[in-house]
Amino acid sequence: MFEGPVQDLVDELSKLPSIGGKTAQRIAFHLLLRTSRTDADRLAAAIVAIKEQVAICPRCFNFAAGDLCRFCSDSRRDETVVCVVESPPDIIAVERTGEFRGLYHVLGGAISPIQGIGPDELRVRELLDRIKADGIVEVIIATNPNIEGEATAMYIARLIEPLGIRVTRIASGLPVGGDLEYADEVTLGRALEGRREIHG
Amino acid sequence: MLIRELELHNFRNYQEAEIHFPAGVSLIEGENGQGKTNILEAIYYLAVQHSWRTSREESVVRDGCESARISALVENRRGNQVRVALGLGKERDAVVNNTRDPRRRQLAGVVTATLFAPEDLEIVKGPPGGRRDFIDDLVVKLRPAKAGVVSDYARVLKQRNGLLKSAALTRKHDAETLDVWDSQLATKGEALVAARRNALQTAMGVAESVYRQACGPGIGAELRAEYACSFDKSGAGSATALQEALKAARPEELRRGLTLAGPHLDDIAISVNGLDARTRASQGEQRTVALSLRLAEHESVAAASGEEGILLLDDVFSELDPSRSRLLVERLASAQSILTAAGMLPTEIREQVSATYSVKMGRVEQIT
Ligand SMILES: Nc1ncnc2c1ncn2[C@@H]1O[C@H](COP(=O)(O)OP(=O)(O)OP(=O)(O)O)[C@@H](O)[C@H]1O
Ligand SMILES: [Mg+2]
Ligand SMILES: [Zn+2]
Repeated sequence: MFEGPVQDLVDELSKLPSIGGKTAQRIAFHLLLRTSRTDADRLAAAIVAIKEQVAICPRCFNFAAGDLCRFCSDSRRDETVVCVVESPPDIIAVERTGEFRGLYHVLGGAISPIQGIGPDELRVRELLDRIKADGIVEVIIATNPNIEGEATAMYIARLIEPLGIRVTRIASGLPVGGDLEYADEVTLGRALEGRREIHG
Repeated sequence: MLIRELELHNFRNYQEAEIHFPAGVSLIEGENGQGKTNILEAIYYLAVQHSWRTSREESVVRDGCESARISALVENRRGNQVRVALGLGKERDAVVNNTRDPRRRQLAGVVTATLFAPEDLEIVKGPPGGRRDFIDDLVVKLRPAKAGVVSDYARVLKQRNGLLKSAALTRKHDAETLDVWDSQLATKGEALVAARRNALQTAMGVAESVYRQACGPGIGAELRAEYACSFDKSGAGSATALQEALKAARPEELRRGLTLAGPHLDDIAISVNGLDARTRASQGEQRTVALSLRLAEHESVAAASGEEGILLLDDVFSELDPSRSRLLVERLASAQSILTAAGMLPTEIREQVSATYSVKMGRVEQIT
């Protein structure tokens, strides 16, 4: 046990994901001994600010600083195409490509029975409601390229297809920008299996 | 590749030991409990960083010590030498040519080895799980890119079992979600069966020839292994067949909370001269079959990767008659094999050996 306030901080930090007791101690000592007062104030203010100012977008479930998130409130985005992702960081990744001009839908995870996550724990119903109400013509499913992401994509595709809407799934394969040389066998093997014909 | 020198420091019952190995066949002799298997275990550790005898790394550290060290000088196929070391216990690391890595990543693939241990008899004699593990392991060794096929199936199975388990507990289920997992299990299952069949076919050609050679001319020595698909009597193991089997099994699955159809229940039917090897072959025959399977693994992996590893044969001669033992040693034309034997071997075998070592209470001495 440390001095009251130090122990309080250690206890709070240990509640965070992937931070164990030892790491919590290290961070607490770092904040105590090596962080300036200004930086500490900024950190504290940033934590308070996300709780006070950031909400969840009622339409797509992305983070939102205003009423709707910045995509849903941007009239230049194409409202007829929706990209379905597992979590908000995936939106950032898709945005970085600069290739997508539609809207998003955040599921809040993927189907994973061993973690007790089924469709009811995800925002699948909300997606269907949006499709029925908002004049969407294409849904791109960009869940993660793993077993749970695949199962989720298939589940959603089966629900949406009968509605006469185009459903696509992003291709999985080699990370772009990565070197072929450094790709592991499994990723490379999958990419080879999903190979396509090219026409010159 | 070859191992030229092996140094042990506080590994198992060795305080300090240094062994030089030639190419060809080396034989380690000694009475029970003297440290023969420990030498093979050390080489195996360099290859895969774990042991077939224990999952607890501390148990290989010499009693009363904090860490152990295995060092070796290995030579790749082009004759280039590489120094490797593995720290176990408290000082966990790997060193390859003076570069140290506490996470041991760089050691992957530097040393390659195939092990035959007395426990391998279970592949022939034991329940189907051992044969499935053998073939799945072979799939990955022959074609590393297929590792995903094996792990994907395992993951889908785990998720599907999770869903069935909660369905059995709550007595209600979501049919659409289960349909999705059926479909995933079926496609991944089909891929797994195809990969296993492929690996089996590659290895069996070799295994049959090893078996014939070990038995010697003049006697019937027909080894066969057929993939026995549990859900598709036509044997193809197609996704459609698995879908149908799952459909038929669903009520029972929902009751028991478990996946009751799929390649996780498949087997390999091994026979010798038309008789089931598991129930009808003799102990010596079963051991010869197990050894033939391992040698087949060794040779086919070498052919696929273009580099032959070290063959480690622990206690192969027990239960084999002198003629079989001699014929087997003749087959070991491999780059380098290291054998152990408790007690003296017949002279015909010793004549084919390039170096012999005697082990007594954790001390090794080269005798020829
Ligand atoms: N961590 C350890 N520290 C000290 N000694 C150990 C340790 N682990 C095992 N041993 C000793 O090593 C010996 C076993 O060595 P090993 O398994 O190599 O025997 P072996 O020569 O192969 O015998 P066998 O012919 O019975 O197979 C045992 O006597 C055991 O007590
Ligand atoms: Mg032994
Ligand atoms: Zn939004």
